[in-house]
Amino acid sequence: MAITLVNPGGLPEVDVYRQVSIASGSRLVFIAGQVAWDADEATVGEGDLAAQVEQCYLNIATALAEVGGSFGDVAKLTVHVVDWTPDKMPRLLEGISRAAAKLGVTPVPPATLLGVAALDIPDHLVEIEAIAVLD
Amino acid sequence: MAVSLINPDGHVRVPIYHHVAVATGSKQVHIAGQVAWDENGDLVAPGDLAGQVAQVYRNVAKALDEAGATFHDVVRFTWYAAGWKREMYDAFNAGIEQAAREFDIATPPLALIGVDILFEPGILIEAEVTAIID
Repeated sequence: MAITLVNPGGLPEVDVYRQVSIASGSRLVFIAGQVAWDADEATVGEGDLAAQVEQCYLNIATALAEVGGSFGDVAKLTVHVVDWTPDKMPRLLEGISRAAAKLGVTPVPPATLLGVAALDIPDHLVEIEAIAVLD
Repeated sequence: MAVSLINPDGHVRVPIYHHVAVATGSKQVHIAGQVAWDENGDLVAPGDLAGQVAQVYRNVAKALDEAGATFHDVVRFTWYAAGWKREMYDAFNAGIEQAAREFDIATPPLALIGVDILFEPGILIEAEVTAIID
C-alpha cells in the first residue's frame, strides 16, 4: 500500500486518526467534498449526523473505486460539520464505524475537523473532502 | 531542495507567504490538522492566539520531522481560525514570529479561513500542512 500512517512521538495519540500520512505514488486523486447524497441526489439521513457521515464515507469509497482505489489509499480527510459542538462526537464516530463495517476497512488517515456555519443546502450536516494517492 | 516558492510578477507581495509552490518529489506528507495541544492533548496557551500559533508550529515541526521532512519541504499551510476577525492579525503574526525564532520556517503558500468553531471551545486556530519530499 502506498500510504504509511504514523503518529510521531511528542504529539497526542488519537484513536480515530493518525497525525501524519506519508504517501508514495504517481496518481493523486482529489475528490470533491462529499455530502450525504445518494446516487439520485436525494439526501440520506435527514437530521441524522451519524447517517450522513456514513453516507459521506460510502460516497468517497464509491469515488475511489471508480478510479481503482479504496479507502485504504486515502492520505487526508477534511470533515466540515455544521454547528459543531464536541457533544456531537459520538454521532460522528458512530457514522464512521458504520461505514468502516460496510467497507471492511478501518479508515484512520490524518483528519481535520472544522465547524462551519452552513454547507450547500440546509439539509446537509456534514461534508467530507478526501485526497488519495494511488500506484 | 525540491520546493520552489514563487511570487508571480504583477501580484501583491505578502511577507509571510508566497503565492505559489512548485514541488518535485515522490512522497507526499499529509498532516492532520494541528492545534495547540501538548503531547497529552492538553491545550497550550488558552485565550492566547499568538501562543497557540507558536504551539501549532511546534507540533507541525514534530510531524514533519517524523516524516523526514522540514519546513522547507512544505507546499501549503492552511490555517483555520475560530471566529476570525481582522484585528486578530497582529497576534497571528506574533505567533509566526515566535515560531521563526524557534525553527527555520519557510514562507509557503498560505490560506487563512475563518470558521465558526474548531474541535472544541478554547482551540483558537488549527493548521493543515502538506509537504513533498524525496
